[in-house]
Amino acid sequence: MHAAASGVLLGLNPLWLATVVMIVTYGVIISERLNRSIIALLGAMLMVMFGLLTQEQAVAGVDFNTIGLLVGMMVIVSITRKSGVFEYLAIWSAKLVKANPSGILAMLAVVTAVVSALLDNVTTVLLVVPVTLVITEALKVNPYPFLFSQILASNIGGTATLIGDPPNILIGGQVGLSFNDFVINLAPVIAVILIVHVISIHLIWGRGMASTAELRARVMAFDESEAITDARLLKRASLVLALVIVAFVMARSLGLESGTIGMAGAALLLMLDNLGKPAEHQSENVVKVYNEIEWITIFFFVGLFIVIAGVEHAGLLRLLADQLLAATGGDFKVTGYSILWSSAFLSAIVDNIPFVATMIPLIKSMAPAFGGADALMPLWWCLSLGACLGGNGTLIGASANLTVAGIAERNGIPFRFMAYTRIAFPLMLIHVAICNVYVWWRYF
Amino acid sequence: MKHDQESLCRSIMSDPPAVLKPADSVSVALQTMVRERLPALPVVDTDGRYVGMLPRSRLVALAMPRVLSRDTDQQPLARLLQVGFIRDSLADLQERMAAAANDPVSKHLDREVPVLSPDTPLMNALLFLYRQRNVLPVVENGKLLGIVSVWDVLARIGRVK
Repeated sequence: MHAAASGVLLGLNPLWLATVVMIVTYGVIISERLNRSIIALLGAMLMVMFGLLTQEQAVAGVDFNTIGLLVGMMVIVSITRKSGVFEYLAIWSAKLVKANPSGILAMLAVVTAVVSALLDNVTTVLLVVPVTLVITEALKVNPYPFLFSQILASNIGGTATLIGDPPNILIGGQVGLSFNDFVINLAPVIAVILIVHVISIHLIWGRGMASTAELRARVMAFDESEAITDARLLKRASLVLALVIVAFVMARSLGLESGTIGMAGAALLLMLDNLGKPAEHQSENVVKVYNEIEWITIFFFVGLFIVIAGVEHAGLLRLLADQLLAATGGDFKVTGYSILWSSAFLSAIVDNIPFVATMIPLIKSMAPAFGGADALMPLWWCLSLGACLGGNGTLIGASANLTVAGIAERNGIPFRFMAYTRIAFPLMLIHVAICNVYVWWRYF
Repeated sequence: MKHDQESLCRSIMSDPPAVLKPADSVSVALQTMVRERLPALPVVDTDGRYVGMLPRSRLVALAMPRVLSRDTDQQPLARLLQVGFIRDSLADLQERMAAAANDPVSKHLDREVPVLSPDTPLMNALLFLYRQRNVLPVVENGKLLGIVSVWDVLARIGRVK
């Protein structure tokens, strides 16, 4: 730290310089003038070139546990989805409620939430939305409520697990919280919120929905078994997914970190998917899978980690943590509530990843004031609940929202910012209020 | 000089067998294209300016659920892998097609069709034809000059009389 500080550009104050680099980086990310992965890398490189970090410190700042988990899960999902299992699930659930539109509205919200707990939110909506549009078109019902409900459901479901939403992957990876920690602490309140969500959507839209028996028969005639493209792949992928989940649950006793588990699952599934195929076919297959990894997210994370390492080394985060502690009077409960609500509001309007990534070291540095790292647990849950659920508040709050809006617009379904926000923001406030009651009851 | 000219699209383009106006209905286009077995028709406005192409694939799309026919615009992950689960009968498809019959063709144009100029090298046109385009518009200063169709090109190259 000292060595780096002494080499700072033009002998400038490292604290100020690092702060300026961070503010400019975050400003450009918020303005969306430049792809976020580019600006994060630029910010990261400025930290090194200005002498705020050495290259070794920059590399050490990248949390490869988080990156490994992200890449590993992306590979697993990219291979698994080829089997058609997610389309199968959506059609099966629609037929389960006899193709009754309000029943499908509720079922698809639950399916989206459950799938989203195990998969990334954006991937989930990309898989569920096209089938939804086929179903709503066959039933001749307005697809908007379905898409709206799936956006919220994907962000709600994703909050329940370590692997469901990038902020959780980030918190889990950086703080060393296990899959079980997330499920035990977050799944109960998420289950309640999902029920509330399904009821709200039913009251707003579902109860007014109708379709004719003839149109419903059309959906009942859908043959979900036709959605399965590759039964052999489905078996192998299910096996690997099950192994990965078991490994996550037993991570502590196995002594494995989540990054290792994700990457091991990816390697195993890649092997099972390619073993016995000719060499050219293998490389073609593997290139396709690697192309589906969301490199924008990966490079964004790498850049952000280094930017944050820069301000951390310069001492900014400790300073901010002291300020935050002073503002809350060192009161644990008030600190928790402030983290919950401020992350919810901020996540509704800006990308929640930079916010969460900055909050993590900030909260970590509060450990001495609150009696050690273990005592901080409730604060992590406040951060996760606020950041993940807050994303539902506006159309730009989370990437799943924009993804659905994009598909909707391409299919001639208007999806406007204000129309969405008018209903979604109050619902988000209700969800966060439920979280507030939950953390008060359970932790404070 | 002659050699140069013959390597360009102007040497091989022909008059389109028919043109559509933006306001023409889908059913008019369907009748013309099916009867004449035309793979695509250019659409021009009243001033002769090129508006777009209506290939037969866009007509086929009208019989499918919309999300499938928007396939090429979707992110790769949002494309349905299998569509065999949809068990629509011939009558269902006819109903869907009939619902679009009165739409103006301008609503269903394929805007991705590559546009040639008379001075485009022949080889560029060949590559597009090879990549499953059957009719390419030749446009100069916004006006449709002619088309390069796969049959004309094969007839010339293969010396078919």
